[in-house]
Amino acid sequence: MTKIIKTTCSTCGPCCEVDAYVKDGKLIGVEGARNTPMQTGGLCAKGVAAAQYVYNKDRILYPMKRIGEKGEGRFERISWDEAYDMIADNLLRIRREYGGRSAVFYAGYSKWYRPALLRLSNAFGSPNFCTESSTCFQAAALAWRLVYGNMICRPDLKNVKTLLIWSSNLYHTNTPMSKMYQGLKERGVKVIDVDPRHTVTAHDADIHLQLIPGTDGALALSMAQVIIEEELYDRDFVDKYVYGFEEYREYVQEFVPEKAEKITGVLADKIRLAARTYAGGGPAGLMFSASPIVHHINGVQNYRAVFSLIALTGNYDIEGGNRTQPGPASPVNEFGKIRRFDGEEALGQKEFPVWFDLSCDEAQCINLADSILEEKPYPVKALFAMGLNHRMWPQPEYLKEALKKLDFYVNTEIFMSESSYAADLVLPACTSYEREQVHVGGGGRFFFSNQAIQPVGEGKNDIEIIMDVFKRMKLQDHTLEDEILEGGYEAYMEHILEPSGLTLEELKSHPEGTSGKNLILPQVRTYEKEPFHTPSGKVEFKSLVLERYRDSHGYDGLPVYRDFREDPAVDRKEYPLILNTGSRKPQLFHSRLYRMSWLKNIEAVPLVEIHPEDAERYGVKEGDTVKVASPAGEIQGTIAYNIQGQPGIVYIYHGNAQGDANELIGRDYLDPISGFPGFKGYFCRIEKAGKDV
Amino acid sequence: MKIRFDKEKCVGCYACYTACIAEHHSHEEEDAHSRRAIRTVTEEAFQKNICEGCVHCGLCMEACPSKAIYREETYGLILADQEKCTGCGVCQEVCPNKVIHFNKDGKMEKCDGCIERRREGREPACVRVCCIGAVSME
Repeated sequence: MTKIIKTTCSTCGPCCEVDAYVKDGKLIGVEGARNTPMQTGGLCAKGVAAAQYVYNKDRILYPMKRIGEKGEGRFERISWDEAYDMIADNLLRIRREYGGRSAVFYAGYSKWYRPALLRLSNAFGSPNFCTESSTCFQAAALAWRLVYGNMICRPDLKNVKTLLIWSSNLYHTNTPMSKMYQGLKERGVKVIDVDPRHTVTAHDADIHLQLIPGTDGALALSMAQVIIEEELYDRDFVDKYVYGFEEYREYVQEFVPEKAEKITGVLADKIRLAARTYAGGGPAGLMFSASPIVHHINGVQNYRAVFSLIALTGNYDIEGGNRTQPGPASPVNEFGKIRRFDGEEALGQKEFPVWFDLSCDEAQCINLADSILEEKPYPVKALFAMGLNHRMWPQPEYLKEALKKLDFYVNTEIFMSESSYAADLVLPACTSYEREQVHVGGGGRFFFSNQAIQPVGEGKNDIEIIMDVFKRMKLQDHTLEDEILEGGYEAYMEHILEPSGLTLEELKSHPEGTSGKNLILPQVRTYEKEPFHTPSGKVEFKSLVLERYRDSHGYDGLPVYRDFREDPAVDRKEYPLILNTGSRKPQLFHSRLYRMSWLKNIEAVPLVEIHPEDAERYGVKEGDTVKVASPAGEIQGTIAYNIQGQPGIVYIYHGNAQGDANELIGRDYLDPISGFPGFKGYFCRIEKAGKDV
Repeated sequence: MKIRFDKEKCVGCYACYTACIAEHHSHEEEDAHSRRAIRTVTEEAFQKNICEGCVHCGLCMEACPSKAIYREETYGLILADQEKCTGCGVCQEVCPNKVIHFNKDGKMEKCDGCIERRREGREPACVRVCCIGAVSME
């Protein structure tokens, strides 16, 4: 008998609702969920290959402890009980010897258990709760908060007349959103797409601004110049609610379209057309993207320039603009509600003070390797990690080596990854098919993700692991406190739902999902009722938070544009090409899916995508094995021609063990505000492999 | 009911390509290949990959000298009888979408229209997975 079970895919981020087909306890197929309002029925390549994910030969089946040297990757099976004792003994010993801050609590993929892990970190007394957001998304949120003081406001897609998509190839990033995008087109919404490549998403747009990677700031400032010059801006809104407009107005004069054309590669007339369409074709929404803009060394400032366009044109918090709350919402517990213990200096606090001033309730661990190796700013001795993957960092081998120097390191993972080789202990996590979860969807809707199959091996739900570890440590140290972590997983799910007015039982009885009972109605123009949560109480075109660090850190209050190509440290004759890494591919997700042959076999990996003109210039051709060298390192890859990108720019997807593009990015090549690496704007050269052997 | 493919709509997400493998193979078959094929189409300053599949047009059936390809009656699907296949390759040559493969024994392999799913009242895996209607039923 085949059963269809309503559950979720969490292979990447968005947690699409799926129908899992289960026969004799085995997952035999996965399809996009039917009969739910949020899913069109389709799915992406990653999700539909679920069987190779769930039953992958790399799955960790049992708790295992290290038997070889650190980094060797030799382990033997132990019981959960022994594993918990090891964790409690070691973490508490290290806390006694070096203090709570010497332990880092880290959340990589998946992300769903973060609030529980933050609770554990707080109870332990460590300020160092860190996540993969040290190189993803958080810098975008930071850029937004510097301007508007709140969480990123998404475009009100239902009501937009113009949509400005800034660096998101959504057909490939989030394939199930394709129908939404096509729906906009059918409704006659004008789409402006900003992307260095002529992607399928750009191809379907009305206006495509094909800029050189990393020049987003110059392009946005130039659009602002046009909008102000032609008096297309919202004077009333700006007069009343914007701080620093006069200085901003003066600054954008440096970016008249003819000058911006030289910087960005986008024709002046196209910049004007886009500016007029966005400012004049309102209401207009701006679709945000997590990382492409902030994976540049001027990323936060570039994104501030982009985000400022919303307020400039009066599209902030109006119907069809970027809204604080475009639909109904239902209150919930946990995500975004747990404050990080900040009684001690956290990792990254001195280098990246703005990250902490506008707290996102996590530390910035981009320099984790230095903290371990050089004990900066103080010794880091223990790492309690879930889904830690060194390939997230630039020059990942450096961190992989550093992990061996830890006194105690435990990684909870779905797969035996290279990042776990240095661990003293590895714990088996579950996929979303093997556990239950309460999901908070958009519009005040909730749905329950059922457990479709028994855990593979002795795998456990991450939150249950966190709760078990907490309880085991509490046996030895009665000062640890957290009621929620003591209550068990069922109670935890009830706790998430509690403010919504729903019970877990009610939610489970609605397989298609259901609305919270306590609903907050959609809002517009919230700024009329309360000031912006910025130091000035206004939208800050000139940031007073950044100004605090003008002398100490060299930050500018205005969204200034600094061109990465002017970096005097790089000899451009030696490295003439721009290197852009990690642009989304529909079949891959960072490093984790290379182990799924159906997806990996789609194309050669790593693929070095270049324009045929560059191939001719550098004497290589399609299918050649080449060496790609940057000031930071070198890798080998296979050449593929791709005219979606422009000559002079090389595109490589990251995270492959046979050649990781992240090795090419210098570990000190960071945005000084966020600490994010310049993954999408560095330099390289290509040559036929073996040339100098 | 025919399976249609709209190459203009296709955005090269590989979902149908992968769904086809997942439908016909166990997760342990690492080298399993799809019965759909990835092809790059190029225009001025633009290229994209598309995943073409069999639309059961019947050209291969007409060309097959061994009568190893036939039209199944219930759903009108064009199916292969591998017993009769001599591996001559004529079908591959005439296929307008280039979606006929030969397995390691030299026998032709093609899309079976997910006939098992059809019998259960489900649409083919490629149709079901496609988010934008590039693969559809007519």
